[in-house]
Amino acid sequence: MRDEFNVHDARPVSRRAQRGRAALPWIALALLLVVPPCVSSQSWLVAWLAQTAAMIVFALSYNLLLGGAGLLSFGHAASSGVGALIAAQLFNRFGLPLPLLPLIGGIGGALFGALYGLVATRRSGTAFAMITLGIGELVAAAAWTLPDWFGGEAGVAIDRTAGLAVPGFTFGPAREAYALIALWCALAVLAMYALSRTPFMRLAHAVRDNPVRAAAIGCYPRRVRYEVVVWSSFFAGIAGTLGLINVELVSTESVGMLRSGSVLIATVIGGSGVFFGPVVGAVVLTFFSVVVASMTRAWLLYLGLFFVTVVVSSPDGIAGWIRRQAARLARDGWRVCLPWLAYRVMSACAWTLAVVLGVQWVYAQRFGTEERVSVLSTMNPVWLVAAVLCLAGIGWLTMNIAARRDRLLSAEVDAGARP
Amino acid sequence: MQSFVIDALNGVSYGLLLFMLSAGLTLIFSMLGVLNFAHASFYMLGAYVGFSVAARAGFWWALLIAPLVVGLMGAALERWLLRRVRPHGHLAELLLTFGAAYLIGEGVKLVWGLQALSVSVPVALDGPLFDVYGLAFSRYRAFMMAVALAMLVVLFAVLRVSKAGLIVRAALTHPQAVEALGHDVPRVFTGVFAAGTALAALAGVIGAPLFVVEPAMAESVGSIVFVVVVIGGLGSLGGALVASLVIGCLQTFAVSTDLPLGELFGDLDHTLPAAWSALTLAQLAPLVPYVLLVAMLAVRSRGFFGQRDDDA
Amino acid sequence: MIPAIAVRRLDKRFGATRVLRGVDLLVEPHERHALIGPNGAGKSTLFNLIAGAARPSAGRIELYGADITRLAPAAICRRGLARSFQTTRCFAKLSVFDNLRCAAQIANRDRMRWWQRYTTTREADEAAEAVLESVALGERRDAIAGTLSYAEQRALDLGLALASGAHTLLLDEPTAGMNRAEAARAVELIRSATAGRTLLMVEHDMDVVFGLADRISVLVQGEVIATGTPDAIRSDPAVRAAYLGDIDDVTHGAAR
Repeated sequence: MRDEFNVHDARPVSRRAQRGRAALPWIALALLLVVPPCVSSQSWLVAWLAQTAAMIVFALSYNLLLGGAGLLSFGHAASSGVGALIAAQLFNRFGLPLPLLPLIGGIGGALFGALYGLVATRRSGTAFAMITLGIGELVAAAAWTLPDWFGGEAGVAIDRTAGLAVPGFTFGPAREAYALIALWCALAVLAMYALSRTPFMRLAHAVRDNPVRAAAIGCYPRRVRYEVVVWSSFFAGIAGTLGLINVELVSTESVGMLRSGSVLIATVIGGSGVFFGPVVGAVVLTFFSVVVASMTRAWLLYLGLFFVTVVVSSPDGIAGWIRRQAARLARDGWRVCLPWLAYRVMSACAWTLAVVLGVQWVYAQRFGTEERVSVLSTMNPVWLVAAVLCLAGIGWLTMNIAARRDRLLSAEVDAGARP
Repeated sequence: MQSFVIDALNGVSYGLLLFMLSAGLTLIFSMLGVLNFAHASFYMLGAYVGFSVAARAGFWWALLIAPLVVGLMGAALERWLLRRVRPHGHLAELLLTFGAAYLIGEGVKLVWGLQALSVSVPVALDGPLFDVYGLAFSRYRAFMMAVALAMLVVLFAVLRVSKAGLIVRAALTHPQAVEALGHDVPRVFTGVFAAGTALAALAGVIGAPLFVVEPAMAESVGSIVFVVVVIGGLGSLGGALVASLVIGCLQTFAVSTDLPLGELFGDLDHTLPAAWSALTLAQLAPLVPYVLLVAMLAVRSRGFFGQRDDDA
Repeated sequence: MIPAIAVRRLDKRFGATRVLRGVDLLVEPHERHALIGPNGAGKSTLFNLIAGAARPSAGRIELYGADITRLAPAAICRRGLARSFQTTRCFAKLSVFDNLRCAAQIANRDRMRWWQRYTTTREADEAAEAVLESVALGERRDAIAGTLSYAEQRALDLGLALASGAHTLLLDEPTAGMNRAEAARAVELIRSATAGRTLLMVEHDMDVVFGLADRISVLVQGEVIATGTPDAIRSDPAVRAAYLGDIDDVTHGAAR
């Protein structure tokens, strides 16, 4: 990995600066959740943010499994969907107060996790991933087949205003619902952060790093994994219920494999090694699934390409990349890093443009008039190919320049030319 | 009785098709240590490429060309992407194959469109092979079984008897030693990966006339294949065979049974809610592999012939 | 007196190969017992069997009289038997202190309320600090375990075994790969750390063995051919023939 180096080479940072740096992501999250709805009254913005908030909780709950215990799950949507379903059914039957609903959903999710964890934690690693795939498919198939519970194809709907009344709020308007969702999102993030600092989570990390050694110091890996599964399903249930509050519906989609795949993509893109990684990944994912999707039908392809790029070039995700660059900046200073960074950014832009042009043209060919960006279908293919090749060439060239500077820099560091 | 025999034969043929898929998957897993999440996508690619070739040159050419083309694609994936990710561990490799599965799915939609395609059975293989008291067993299914069995024999022969197979088996457990002996282990890996995906594509070409060819086929078949390898025991070819046959037969029997769940429960029928007991086994057939998975895990978590590993 | 570790007629086969043939071994409480023998004699296999990482084909293993033959490794550790590993393993992404805290946390579980796994573990932290000092890794407290040097990792490995509060330690080649100075430091560390505890260790370095051990057992081709004090072993002709070597006795040589 080109960017590998020992983090401890960084210059010592003062306590205040450290604390400031640690508070940065929290501030960013708070700004993201609070500022846009206050500034603008566009309804699509509130809808997008509501989806993002639910996805943030979902991805963080997924990272309890992946980053926390090293368990890759392909069926996480089952936990969130079942939690939301239980919440919806209880809400419709007993008219609970809406603000408490996410907690109910969380408990429902935890119960489901307690059930499937019994079976799934008997294995770990690849086998665990396949087991969760099977269980996810089982729940998804059962949702289609079994009547009553999932309400068949129509799903189970709720009416936000029908719950036990809370003075001052009806939760009918989307903004009120969003306020509730954002509040629960913040609570859940805080709770998961606190959980990640507990001694229990430390044990989970130990089991993740080396299960044999963990057993040799008296820790039962299976029990630890089981507990992590239950906690993860609890927060997944909360996330599912936030989604339920947003769209007032839980359907077979809520437990489907597409949703399981999307939370995995979000967490990996964001980075599973940093607490706020999944938050970044969630924002990126909803950007693709809401904003890009409204512009072009190729959004799934773009998401897939981005995912593969991240896995190949920066397996620790966006947050991991940021962390490495920040450490590098601290070590080498702005003047050295800026040109290198500029080359990288240029390269990324050039490649992206080349890919977008090519993909949009191909999609325009295949799906014709349904594509909104249809100017490309009328474009002369020769010009297009030339443009794509040109951009790709720029991208490749700048990437190589950046890599060469990289090599020179690390050679200098190794030779001790720098203090 | 007659339908039982036909169902059993159909079940075995479906099971052997599953085995063609899970054998390639097991080979890749045993060799490279990574479960190729894109395996079913290569199956789908084989079906689509086979469709295109068959439309121009006929079924028999498709049978030859499609596995070759897809095998090359698999080799490219391994050589250019998977190898780059390998230093980061098995998890990263699995994630890469997951991403590849996604991309192949989108690519297929792009090239061949969204609607389902129908592939027709070649004339030479159309029609019944024999009758069992009036019910016909189709010739094509017999052909499918024959190909699967032939593949099994060839695989066994290559792995057990030939020199290439010896190197592959050695590289399975001691790659560094094999490399020290002068063999190009990375190339062996690429070769095995290509062989596995070619097998999947072959299964795709053969299975195409029987099952719907659409962009969603990778996901549905893929999950069943992964369940098969877990039930059989990760890394065991024999286990994959047994599990494929069991699941193939059970699912085929379930699909052809119109028995409602209530009757199956007999006297305990009153414990089920009304809507549940009206469900027929045919409707519950898609759940069969996954229910089996849960049952197997509860009873014997390493599968039929898997290695016992207490932790990882 | 009940022996700390009692291995009775232990047999282990891998397929057709019989690696251990009816091994009998007794380790008395508070003694330092070394297990020596040529490569391939089955020492690591014996260790794995005692620590629960593998199941024997026949025989019993007892810890202070209690049968631990079929227990899981975690259960055996909770009964007070901890091991270190020949290829060092620790928790590579945690800091050194966190590594030790994990072990101390489990050792301390009986004195904790169930919810304290989520709050503070002050006693466990103090125990971890103590172990940190005793294995001389104090300055590397916050270093990530994966970045430690080889000798430091061995020290951490020993520290993990100590922090789990065990009264009986199994050390698998604790000075392997170390130079003279490091080995001498390691020996001192082991000596001070195992005061009052029982120690069973596998070693190839004869200076370490004869300097540290109270009693020695010699394992050759899956059988214990001799047990006794260092002097007795040094002068035992069978041991010299099979392992220690004797310039007159070339034909028997270092057996398999």
